[in-house]
Amino acid sequence: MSEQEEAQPQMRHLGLAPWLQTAWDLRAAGNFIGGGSGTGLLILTSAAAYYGIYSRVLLLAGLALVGLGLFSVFLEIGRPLRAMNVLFGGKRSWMTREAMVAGVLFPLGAAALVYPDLVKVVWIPAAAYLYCQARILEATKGIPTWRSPLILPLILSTGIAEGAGAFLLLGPLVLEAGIPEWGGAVLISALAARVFVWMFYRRRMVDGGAPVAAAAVLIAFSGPFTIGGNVMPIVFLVLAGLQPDMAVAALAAAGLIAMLGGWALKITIVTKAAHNQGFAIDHSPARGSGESGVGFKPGWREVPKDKT
Amino acid sequence: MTKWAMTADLGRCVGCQTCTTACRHANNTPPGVQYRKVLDMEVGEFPDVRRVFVPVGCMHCDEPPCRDVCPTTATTKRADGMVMIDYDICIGCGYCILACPYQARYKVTKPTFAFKGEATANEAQRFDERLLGVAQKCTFCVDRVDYGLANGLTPGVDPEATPACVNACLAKALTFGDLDDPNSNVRKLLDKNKSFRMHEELGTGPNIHYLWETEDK
Repeated sequence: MSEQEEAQPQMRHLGLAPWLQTAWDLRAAGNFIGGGSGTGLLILTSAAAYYGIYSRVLLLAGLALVGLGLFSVFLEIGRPLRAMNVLFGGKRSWMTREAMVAGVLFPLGAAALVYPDLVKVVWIPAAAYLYCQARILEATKGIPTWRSPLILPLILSTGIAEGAGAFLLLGPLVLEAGIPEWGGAVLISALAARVFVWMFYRRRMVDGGAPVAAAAVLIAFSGPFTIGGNVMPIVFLVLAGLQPDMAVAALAAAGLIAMLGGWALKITIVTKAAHNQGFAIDHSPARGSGESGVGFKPGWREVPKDKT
Repeated sequence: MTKWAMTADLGRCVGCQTCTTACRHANNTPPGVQYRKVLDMEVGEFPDVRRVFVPVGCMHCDEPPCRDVCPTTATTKRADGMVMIDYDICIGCGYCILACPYQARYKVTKPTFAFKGEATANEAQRFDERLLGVAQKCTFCVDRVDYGLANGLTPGVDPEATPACVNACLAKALTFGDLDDPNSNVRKLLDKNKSFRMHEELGTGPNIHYLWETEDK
């Protein structure tokens, strides 16, 4: 690769087999991290309002995370001065819909800082925003690990897990009555859902749903993610239940690890296991008087026809 | 209706890359950007190994995923099937680059020239600032096609109205024409030959058809 292409990785074109996409890097992953954790936290903060718990700090933290995510992706676009054009494509694009929902979420969140009763409805645009993020990935037909239908429950469950994690982490610092009991239950449910979906997602990708190189990344990530990002927080949650004197610290640790696990998942899926489709032919041609031959799909595992 | 499409005869293509060169000349693309590429594949296992050359590029899909994800409506599909980019609207988010399963799109963020920092006289004259920081790809040489139609020419038949890559193909492996016209060159070729389309299982409806065997075989 030339120096010029080194400096502009979007220009890279590497051979026949699927190669790692370079159009979206950590800045784009930042949008999914901030958006997922932020909306997850906003959903829990909104739910807490139904139990008489109101915290401006949690509300602000949730909005700030979403805002940071959007700012992060703003740094990635080629023509930042035209950023508002992102609102034109609502008919088809989930990215536009995400931006439109943000246009509801931020004013509503700001209003809820002044009128606490409004917190009870903040979960609606927050959940919609999280859903849009999942659909953004799912609509990306060129990246096999993103277009899987299982990406939808995976992004939703990790968003809730990250938000519940942030809630348990920040709650003791800002909630006078401490964390409500259901906080831990939400986290454990979201973690269970996340690891459950992850197992199916990973299996589908490894079984031919993704290029070999992307599947290898997921395989390498699976162990640390399952144990470190999901089992460990559950262990801390159990510890919090068994040892009430350590409960606050254990819940915070569980929350932090669950959140970091989700961030690692997104960094992995968006920037590391994001190999493109590559190229394939269904048949080799007949040349001259010769016979035609088999097809070719480099970089993909051969899957028996009855499994496709 | 008109539906522009291309056929690539894999039995004819010799991998000379003349189409690539012609495309780069016609579109003044910078280093690393190739709207029309020719892949060099080695298929099979010893001793039954064969070499296949596969021209690729934007497939001007029936259901283009690049258009569906575009948040700005910069990517559109014309009534005649061509998928276009409005460079003045595109924000360069890169979403379409990822959505395209044919790796047909590029984004160049700063001027690059064949001889590093300095543009040749040709590059300097033809440099288009609008293409910086936005998505770009093959247009089926829309300017030539539209010019031809406006002047009573037939795209795919008259060279002035035909994409540069097709004009340049020395093996006549590439053909361009109206898929909806039963008498067009591409329709006749598709009637006479077995063909497939790349990644058809993804539901994109690509409009480059690969010919791999004549029907009478």
